[in-house]
Amino acid sequence: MILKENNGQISIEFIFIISFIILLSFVTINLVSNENELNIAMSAARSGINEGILIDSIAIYPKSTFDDYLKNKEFLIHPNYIKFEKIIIRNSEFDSKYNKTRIQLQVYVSSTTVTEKNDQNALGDRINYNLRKSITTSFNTSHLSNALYNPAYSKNYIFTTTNVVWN
Amino acid sequence: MDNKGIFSLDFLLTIMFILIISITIVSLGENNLKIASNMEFSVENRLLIDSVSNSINQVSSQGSGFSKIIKLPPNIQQKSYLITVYKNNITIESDNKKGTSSIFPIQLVDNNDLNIYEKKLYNGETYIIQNLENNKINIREY
Repeated sequence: MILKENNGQISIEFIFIISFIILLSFVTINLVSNENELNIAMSAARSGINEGILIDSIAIYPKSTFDDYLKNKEFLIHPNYIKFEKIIIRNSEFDSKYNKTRIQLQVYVSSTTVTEKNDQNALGDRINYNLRKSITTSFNTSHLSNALYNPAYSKNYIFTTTNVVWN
Repeated sequence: MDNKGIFSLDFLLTIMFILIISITIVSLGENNLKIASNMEFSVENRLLIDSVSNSINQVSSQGSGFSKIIKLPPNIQQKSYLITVYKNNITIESDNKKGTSSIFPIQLVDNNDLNIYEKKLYNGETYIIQNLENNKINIREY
């Protein structure tokens, strides 16, 4: 006798589609997560750069920094105009010691007011610091890094920064 | 056939997807939100100190007798602050942050017309800035 049960059954097409989707996602997940990690890192870097530039340009600093600048770099306690231009990957090589890819980032900014080399270095260091900090907090890896977040770690990459280029 | 009180499978799947997507977005955005609120605090400090220095500049450049009333906001993001006026700049201190803004050089005097080095302005207070004569500026509670 053929059982005629119509309720509570999944059609074979449905099972095919689901298993195909699962197979496909297993294959692509590796690729996608790798790309996604780089994407997150770069967007974190950008938001860190923005934060650094904003602190530099509105010149409201932590008290100790302010007092230090007041003594040594008085120019920096006044607001400055700084514009973010681009961020490039300077070097990228595989580091077998950490089993991660090492990426060196370089930021380009332009400013009509900041022209002294020392001032540029002080402001540039803050931009780089915030860049690394942002990447580190995005991947929750502050326990791996030092107080200056140098280098910044993600799952498969190590990020370092080099001096900011001022135009 | 029980049609009441039953969730459809599509509904459950949709809710699951929405949950997954929103958790991802929230964790990504959390860092940005923290940065934004931090920045907002600094920007508000900067705006406040620039507006105070602007008021002092207005009073000192308008000549003797001119006065202006400024009302300081009660706090910046629930944090108190202190503004100090000096001879040629003013500073703001709030939550371990500090900034400065330049003003045209003035001579600060107290209510008895004696020269003073600095004048502290506290949050939430209203002050009157008055140009007594020749850039002698008196700032007192209004």
